[in-house]
Amino acid sequence: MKNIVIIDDEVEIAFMIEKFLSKSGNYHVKTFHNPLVALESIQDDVDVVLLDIMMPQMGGMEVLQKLKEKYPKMHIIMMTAYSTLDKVLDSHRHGAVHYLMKPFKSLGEISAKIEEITT
Amino acid sequence: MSNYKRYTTLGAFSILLFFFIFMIQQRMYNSNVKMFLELEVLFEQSIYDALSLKHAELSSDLEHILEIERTISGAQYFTFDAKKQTLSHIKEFYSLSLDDLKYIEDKIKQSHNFSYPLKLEEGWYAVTFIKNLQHPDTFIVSFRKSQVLENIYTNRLKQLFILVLIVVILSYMLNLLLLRAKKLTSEKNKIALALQETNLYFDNAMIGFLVIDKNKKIIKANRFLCKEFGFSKEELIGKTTDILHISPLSYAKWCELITTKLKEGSVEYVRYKMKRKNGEEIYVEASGVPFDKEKDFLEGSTVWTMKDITQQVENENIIKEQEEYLQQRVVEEVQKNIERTKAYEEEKLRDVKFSAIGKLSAGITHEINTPLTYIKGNLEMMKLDMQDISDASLKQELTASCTNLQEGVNRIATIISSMQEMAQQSNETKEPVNIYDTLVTALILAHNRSKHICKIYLNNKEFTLNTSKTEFECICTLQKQRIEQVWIVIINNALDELQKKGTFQERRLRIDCFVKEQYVVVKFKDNGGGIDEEILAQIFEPFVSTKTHGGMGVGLSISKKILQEQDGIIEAYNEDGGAVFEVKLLKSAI
Repeated sequence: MKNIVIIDDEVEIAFMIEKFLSKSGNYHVKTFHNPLVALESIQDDVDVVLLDIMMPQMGGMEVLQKLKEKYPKMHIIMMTAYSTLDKVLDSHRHGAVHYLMKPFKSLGEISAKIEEITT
Repeated sequence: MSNYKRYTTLGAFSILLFFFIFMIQQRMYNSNVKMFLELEVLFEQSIYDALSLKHAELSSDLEHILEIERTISGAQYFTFDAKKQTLSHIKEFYSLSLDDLKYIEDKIKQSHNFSYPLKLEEGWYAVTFIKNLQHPDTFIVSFRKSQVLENIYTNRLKQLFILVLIVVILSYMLNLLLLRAKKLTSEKNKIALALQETNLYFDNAMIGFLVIDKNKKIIKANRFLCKEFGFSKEELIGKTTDILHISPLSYAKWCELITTKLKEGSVEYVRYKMKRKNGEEIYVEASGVPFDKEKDFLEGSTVWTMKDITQQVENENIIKEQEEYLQQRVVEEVQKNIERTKAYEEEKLRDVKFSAIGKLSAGITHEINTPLTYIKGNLEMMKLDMQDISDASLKQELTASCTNLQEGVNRIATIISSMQEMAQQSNETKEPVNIYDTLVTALILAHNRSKHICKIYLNNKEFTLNTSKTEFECICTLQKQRIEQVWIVIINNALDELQKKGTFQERRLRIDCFVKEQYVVVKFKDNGGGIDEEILAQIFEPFVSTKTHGGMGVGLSISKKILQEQDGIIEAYNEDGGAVFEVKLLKSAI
């Protein structure tokens, strides 16, 4: 079982991803709607973080930087509905392994990325 | 005539005149004296005869006679015996001049009765010798004081004085006359000279002069005018002016024109077409004034100046034509400019529209993407869940509907994605950038996709995630992320095209980055079959796409725009069965 954390203020999206990943039975999924809470709660045992960029409390980029500072080896996949190339490149520089565009091409894309990273 | 000459003439004339008058007077005086003396002789003789007759017997008694005589006439008498007495006695007695003596002597010799005038101290006397008939050798001599002689001689002086006076007056008058004549002559000369000068000017003036009388007959024409019209003076003078006009109708119109001009005030600079002797038509500029200013223009002679302005008129016409041409050109240019501006405005408006859409889409796409994400995700999960439905027909129906829904949602997602591409803007500043580095970055970003499609060769080396970013150096000054965006667009387009054909092994994308002259050239060459010729021409226009699904066809138009902002050029063409996108960027000066 891999530990997956989803940080997204959009409840519906977070719920949907959680449901999809849980269903496969391969993942232990934990969801946060508030990045500040997430930052406090996340432990070293998390395998992959699915992180939204646009959030009201704290931007995804900042969260990314903080997480990377704390856990440099943690795999972080960025998600955004408002994509600019600048952001893609920025996140890449700050150590994100992947960049998922909303809407996803398919939910399978998410699990495929996770698998790609963790194996 | 000089004064000296004039006075000489005058002097000579005066002297001549004086002598002339003097001679006449002398003659008159002489005749008067002669007449008087003859009368005196007659008178004395008559006295003597009377006395002789009366006193014939007493004639010897001369003394007595003389006594009586003395009492009669108051004259002095004595008897002169020519044989005994010499005239010298008388001379002594009366102090006669030698001329007088000679005269008397001659007369005595001729034995005539005679008388002559003698001036003595007391006055003028008539001395008369009468032959004594009694004694032939003796003469009765009488001395009679004569008032008549006195008068004659006194008058003679007066007359002489008057004569001199007359001469003086005449001379003076003559002088005046001469002066006047001289003045007249000099004035006449002056006038003649002025006339000559005027004629010279008239004839040599560099403008045509024409003098015509009231019947329109040419009185005078100068050389210039003759030359202009090609006539000789003789041919013009005496003819009417219609010789200079094209036709009688033209002449009539000319007269009308002049009348109109006169009503306006003056006949100046009238332009009219006239005719030369050889029939050639010329433009003439004419001005006319009446010869006699008191007279009306049409009543008397008129003086005209005429100038051939054909060349000038032709030049003016050429200028006019040129001006018209220029005017037309200006209008055309303005029209063109208006059209151009209009086109530009339209383009700008379209640009503004796109920009507005872009700005709006930045917000809208995010808002739409969020629900789109979970609609899409949930549909996918629904479809998976449907696999558990036992009723086969229901399962099939629901799955079909779900697929339909998914297709629709996917289309929306594609449109939104394209709008996002358009909306992207960057405020990044220009900086020196290694183009090779940007290519590697773009390839890393695309790697996730490209690794399934084909191998990519960067400067003849196969690209991997380990490819060094600094192996080559081609520096340009530009916005780094913008140029990376362009690469991603081009690479993604190539991948899209390659994906359609062949196998992984067959597909190739070669990227070359090199310096050529002042440019850094980046060449993307695939073997995906190339671009359709129809599309090739407008490939950089917005909304042109070869993709049936996905892509609104804005990627390349945005790329082109970005490159223009970076002073770059992009070209697309087909080569060796594939498409080539060639980008040229201005190399930084090192």
